[in-house]
Amino acid sequence: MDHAYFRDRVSAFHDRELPLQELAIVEEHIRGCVECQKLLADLEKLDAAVAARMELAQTDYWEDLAHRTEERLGFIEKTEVTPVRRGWDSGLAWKITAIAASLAILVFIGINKDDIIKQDEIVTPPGVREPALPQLPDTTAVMFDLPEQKDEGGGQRRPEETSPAPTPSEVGSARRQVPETVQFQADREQLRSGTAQTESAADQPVTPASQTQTSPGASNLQETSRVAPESRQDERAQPLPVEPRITKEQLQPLPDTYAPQTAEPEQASKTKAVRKKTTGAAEQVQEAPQVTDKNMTAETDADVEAAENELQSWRAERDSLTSELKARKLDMVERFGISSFRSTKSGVRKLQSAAGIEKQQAATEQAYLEASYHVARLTDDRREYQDARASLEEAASRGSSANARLARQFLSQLDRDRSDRPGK
Amino acid sequence: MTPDEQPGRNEPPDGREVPSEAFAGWEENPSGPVPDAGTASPERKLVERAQNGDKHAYGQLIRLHQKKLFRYIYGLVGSFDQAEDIVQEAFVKAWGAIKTFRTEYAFYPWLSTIARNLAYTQVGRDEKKESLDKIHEKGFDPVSGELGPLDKLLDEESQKRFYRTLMSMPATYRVVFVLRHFENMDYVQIANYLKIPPGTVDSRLHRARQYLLKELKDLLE
Repeated sequence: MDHAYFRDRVSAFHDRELPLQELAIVEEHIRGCVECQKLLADLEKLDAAVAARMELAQTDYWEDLAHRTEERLGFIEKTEVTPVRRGWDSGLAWKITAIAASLAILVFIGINKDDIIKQDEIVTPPGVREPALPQLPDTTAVMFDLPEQKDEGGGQRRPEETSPAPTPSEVGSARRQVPETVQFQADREQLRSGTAQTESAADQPVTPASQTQTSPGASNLQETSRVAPESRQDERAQPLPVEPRITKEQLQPLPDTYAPQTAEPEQASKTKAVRKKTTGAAEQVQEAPQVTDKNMTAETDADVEAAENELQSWRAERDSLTSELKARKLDMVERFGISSFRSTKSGVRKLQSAAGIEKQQAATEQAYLEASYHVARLTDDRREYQDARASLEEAASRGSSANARLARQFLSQLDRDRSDRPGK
Repeated sequence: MTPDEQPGRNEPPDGREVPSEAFAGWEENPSGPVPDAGTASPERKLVERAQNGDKHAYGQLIRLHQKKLFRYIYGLVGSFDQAEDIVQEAFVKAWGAIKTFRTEYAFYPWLSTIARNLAYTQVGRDEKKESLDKIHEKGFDPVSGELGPLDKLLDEESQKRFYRTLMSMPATYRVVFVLRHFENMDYVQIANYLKIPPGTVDSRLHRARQYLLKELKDLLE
């Protein structure tokens, strides 16, 4: 056996893959051959070098790959669809329809703006003076209808520290349910100044039977505050004063230039909202916008119309792309034949032309898949949905091409949309 | 070398006598059955949970094996995009068949068999070629020697040089080298898979090593 025989078997010897008889012979040769020993050593170094360098780095790529695999398995729902780049003129019909629908909505709002805005206005009847906000330094006193009191020493004294006041029935009358703000303010002023008179019957003070003069200028209100503790509890339990409400019958259109009356910004306003109307356009400052049925209907109709227009435009595009795809396929068959090309010059030219057409075909198919997706997404017709979906599924089954991946993404998105709309 | 959807035969081609139990589960696991140590390994528990429908467990199996599988399939097909697609498809197929998997065997060899068969199926479908020599255009440019996306998965320059050299090797040698060094398959298993005699496996592996020894000589010193 020549040396080449042994040299060719050093690799198998290194792997221990030689038959037993051959293994012994080669091993004996290697023991006595420097060249084969060097080769064996090189193979061992190569093994070590490969083992040290074959590992791929641990990067974010692997988590991303695992995530995409889980999406492909359906473990994770994909949240967005990769945008499809299209030519500037693709989807032109849809764009025009969308612009027309937007303009129609704007025109509708412009024509009916008075109706839309009018119901949200709250105006003050001309005969009703915008009430001045009461100045109440102590809101607690207001709530419980208690005056500020000062004892003889100049400090404040809590009302319950005064002498016992009248009976519970007198408390009920002293408690105002719906005070007039103006009247209320007047009463407060009177009370502070120590006058004994009140004008409203509801404000009748308690009988002076229990009246005591604890401080100079003690007012009737002070007297009303001298109630038994249990009565005062009842008083506290009673509902708080409710501000007067302006009914619809009282509403009249605001004058063109309306300025709100002076108001104390830190006090609670009488009305729920302050309305201001300027010439030419309605400006609203409100805490809670009021949406009327009329407004809701107008917006819903516009949305439905826009959606229908969009669906129709996608249908039209899909139909035109279908024709285009069929026509191009026929063209390819007629021009290039179905069989494989021969490696001749003319065959190579045909290949190049076919490659160009194939690229166009792929781009058209991409647009077709997108149109199918949008039709499936927008339609309520079960058959149309199934047809569109079948187109996507057919494309998705074609291996790992870009269009197949796109079709799978569309299908995942449709499944996600469908789970949100169980009726479809 | 022709694409083949089926794993190797149940008998070694060179007529060596092997105990029959060594070939049990050969269709599922051409690398040979890996006997269980007797206690349930963590991987086996993951597989059992996955068989019960636990997607999270299967996700962990994906993360456990995808890197090695990708490296292997990339070595076979030489294309980053194709390797990625085949790896994902292999996991999808394995999930579909996981209930039939016998947990006393190791999971990875079964998975890699699925991936390997997919690699050859896809190659056969995409091309009317008779060998893998022309596959690597998409991931590796033999003219410029650029690795493409794989470059980002290699930290050191010596690693990049190793892979560039490996990818520049003729595919007939490269596939045998990858099966041996990346998958630790023995000559008989490689021969069965590639439908070639073990002697041919030996000679191709020898040539692959000679090629690398020549191109990476300075790395080995």
